[in-house]
Amino acid sequence: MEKFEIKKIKGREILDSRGRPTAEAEVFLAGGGWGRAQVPSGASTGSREALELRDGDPSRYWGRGVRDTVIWNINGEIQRSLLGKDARNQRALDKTLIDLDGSEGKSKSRLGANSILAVSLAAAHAAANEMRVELYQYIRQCLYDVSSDHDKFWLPTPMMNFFNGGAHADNALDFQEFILVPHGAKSFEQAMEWASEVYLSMRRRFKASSLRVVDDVSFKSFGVGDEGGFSIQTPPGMGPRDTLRFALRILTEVVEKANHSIARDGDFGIALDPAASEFFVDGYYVLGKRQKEGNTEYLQPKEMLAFYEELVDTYPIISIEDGMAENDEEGWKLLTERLGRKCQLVGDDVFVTNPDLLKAGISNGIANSILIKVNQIGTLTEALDVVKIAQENEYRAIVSHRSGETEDTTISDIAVAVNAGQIKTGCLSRADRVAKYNRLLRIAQELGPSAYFDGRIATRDTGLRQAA
Amino acid sequence: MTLLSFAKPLIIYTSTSRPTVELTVKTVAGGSGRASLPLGYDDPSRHNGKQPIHQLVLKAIESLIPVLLGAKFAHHSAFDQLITEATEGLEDGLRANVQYLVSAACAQACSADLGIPLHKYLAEMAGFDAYRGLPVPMITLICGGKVATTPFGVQAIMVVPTGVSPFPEAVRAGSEISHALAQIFKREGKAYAIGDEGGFSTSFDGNGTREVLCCALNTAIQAIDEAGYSKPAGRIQIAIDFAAEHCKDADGRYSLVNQKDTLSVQEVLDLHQFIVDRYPVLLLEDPVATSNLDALGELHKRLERKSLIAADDLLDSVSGVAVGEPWDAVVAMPDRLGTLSDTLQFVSAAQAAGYVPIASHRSGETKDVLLSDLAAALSLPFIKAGGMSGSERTGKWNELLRISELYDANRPVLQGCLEGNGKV
Repeated sequence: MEKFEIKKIKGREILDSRGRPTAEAEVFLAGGGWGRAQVPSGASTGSREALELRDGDPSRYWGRGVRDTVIWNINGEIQRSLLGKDARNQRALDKTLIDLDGSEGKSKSRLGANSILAVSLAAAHAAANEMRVELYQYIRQCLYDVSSDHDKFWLPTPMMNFFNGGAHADNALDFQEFILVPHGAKSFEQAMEWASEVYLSMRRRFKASSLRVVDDVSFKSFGVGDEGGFSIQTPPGMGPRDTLRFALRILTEVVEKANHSIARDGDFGIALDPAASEFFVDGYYVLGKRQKEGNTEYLQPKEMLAFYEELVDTYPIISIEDGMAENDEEGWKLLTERLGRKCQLVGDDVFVTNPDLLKAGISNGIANSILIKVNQIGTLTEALDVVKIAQENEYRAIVSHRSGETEDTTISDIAVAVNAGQIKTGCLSRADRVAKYNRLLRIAQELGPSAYFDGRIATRDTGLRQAA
Repeated sequence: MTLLSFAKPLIIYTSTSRPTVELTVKTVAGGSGRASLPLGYDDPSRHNGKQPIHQLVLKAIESLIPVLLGAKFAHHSAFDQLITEATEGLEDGLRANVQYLVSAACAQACSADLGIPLHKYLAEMAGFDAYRGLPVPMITLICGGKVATTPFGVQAIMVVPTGVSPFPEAVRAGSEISHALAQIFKREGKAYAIGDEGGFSTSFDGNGTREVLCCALNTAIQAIDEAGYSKPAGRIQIAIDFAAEHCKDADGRYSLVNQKDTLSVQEVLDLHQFIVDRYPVLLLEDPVATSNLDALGELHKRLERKSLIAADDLLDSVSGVAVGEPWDAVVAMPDRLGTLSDTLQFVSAAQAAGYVPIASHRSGETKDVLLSDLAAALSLPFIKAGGMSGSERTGKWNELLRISELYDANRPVLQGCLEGNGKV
């Protein structure tokens, strides 16, 4: 139909949540409908991700500008190839973009995964707008089949990154994320209430006593990291593993001090994202490189596994993401074999939202869940296809943000549309993170009692792939 | 004639994790609008008994819905008039919050009905038919005080690219300077994080207030230099928000930078004089408690408008902008002023009385960008929307980037209203 015809596409250089340039695209349809989408950018990037393009002109934004390449491509080549096409035919649009890019292995390096994704998502927003439906409804109705026994809309359990470490913060923590999951909540709204209570209580503690949250040891926080969690400064002189244990202890205590329980059957559970690819060197997991004292520890994969097993036995850890490095297949198999029944094991760097890598992982017994980052693959259609593969193989698909985000909330709609059940989009601070949760609150209000919410989805037996 | 057909509030969260209220409205013609209430640190004190502010706002909005749904109006000002009457019984701060939320959501819906961007709608509402220029961004580089968890007590050190235009270049300057500052911290092995308003938070070395403040300002100057903006001089100036009202103890002494070092009022004035003589300071916000008018008057005389004094506290209404007060600029926070008509009145009263109006965000923000549209629509000389981190801040710069596409690229960013001020 004519009114869904793409009439104009406009790109624009804007700032992401870290103050760096990123791309925004607007798609306008003949019928007056329009959509806008902005693309994120990762700090810890898997080596097999689709490639974002940057200007490389050192006189603007230390080479990170997108005006002269990404935006130029959107306004030029990409616009020309999509004009007059039906915005509802997402698969055809995305295929056109991939073919137009033409780069080897679908890396999208010629036009840039950032220019392609901005337009791919903006087109979906425009089609939904023209149909006068919400984006999650449009994706469910037109782009994604959920199996018939799950035809309700699921509101995802939030995985909220409260302590930042690794590439996301300037501190001594080797693990990238210490995540709280309000898995005892009865509704999405209640999960948000609890998260707000814990965040505010934690902040008051950091502010008031800035040095003594735990009785015998001191530590401090200067504020938040890129993903809205606190960037904590642990006391010097602790070994790397003790530093990580210490962070888990503080996390547990601050939740309890906010009058919530933290346990497998309590209000909150813990999820970890070690992002182990970042500290895997020559067959060893090297901890402590971020510490100034040089207490470096070299762990073999099986020693790393033993450390995880100790943590899982001591703390209510319900999920571990990237526990092993992307190129440590044996380590991953071992981890899945030993912890796959107790824990949700999420593959991010190892799968990079790529269908072929996921399929290989499934047949090799690697992980039991996958993190979905739309910009790792580069188009909406491809991302939805990966979710499909995961769900058909009883792997959980967890929709995720990136460290460099924007005010765009498309991932909230995707999470609801595909019944992901879980969303990982940072702590409840900074609008780049909070906007995604606020969008879900709005969807929850709209759906009312017809929405489904299962806080403890990460530890349900059903769907969790049993390790061999 | 506009008729509202739908109005629904929702509890959402601000960028600082606090619950607040969002309102969605729709008109019979199909336009929809949404606004949310930002929260400052002073707001929790506005309790009525034990109820937090968002509960009070929610309740007030819910009781207004029957009025809203029956409302028929031809102009936005008529709608604002209606809201003003319907909220008469509410306590001051709460009333302003409720009025702002309803007026802002309705403005969005009406502009959607008319098929024009919000900034254009607001400009027409203010009676402007042509744009006179975009505001200069005041970009927070360093956060301290109440909006950080560090011991550094100054609320904000901002860079103001008065000599960089057009607008996208001013934003780029802010981004590149912030990036340069992060590189400096990394090089020096200094721990840092992000404060509530999107600037860096860390601690600075030195004995006593003056040394610590100079250390922070030197670091800011170094970042400006390393980002390549120190020449020609005056392209980037500095603004400092001391939020002095919050730094005053019961004896009237100030702990401006550090809890342990308190200063008498005279020492505070000397400090400001010292800073202004040595650094390219465009503006000092709340340098002394606004309640201490004598001290403010003396500082105002001493600075001779070489650096501007901006007042923030005590300026919730038009009565705060009487002629002849000892300040040069006033901070306009729409959520504290009431309906959008009230904000327009505040701004024109301020301008008539000779004050420079500055559009300002709050510490707890959302991704709502009405502030940017308002600042552009009224061609305000300055906008404070925080730093270069957090989409509640960058989203507001992004909206101004969009609006800037409608401008002649060569038009100077800054208006003539600052002429006569030696530094600009």
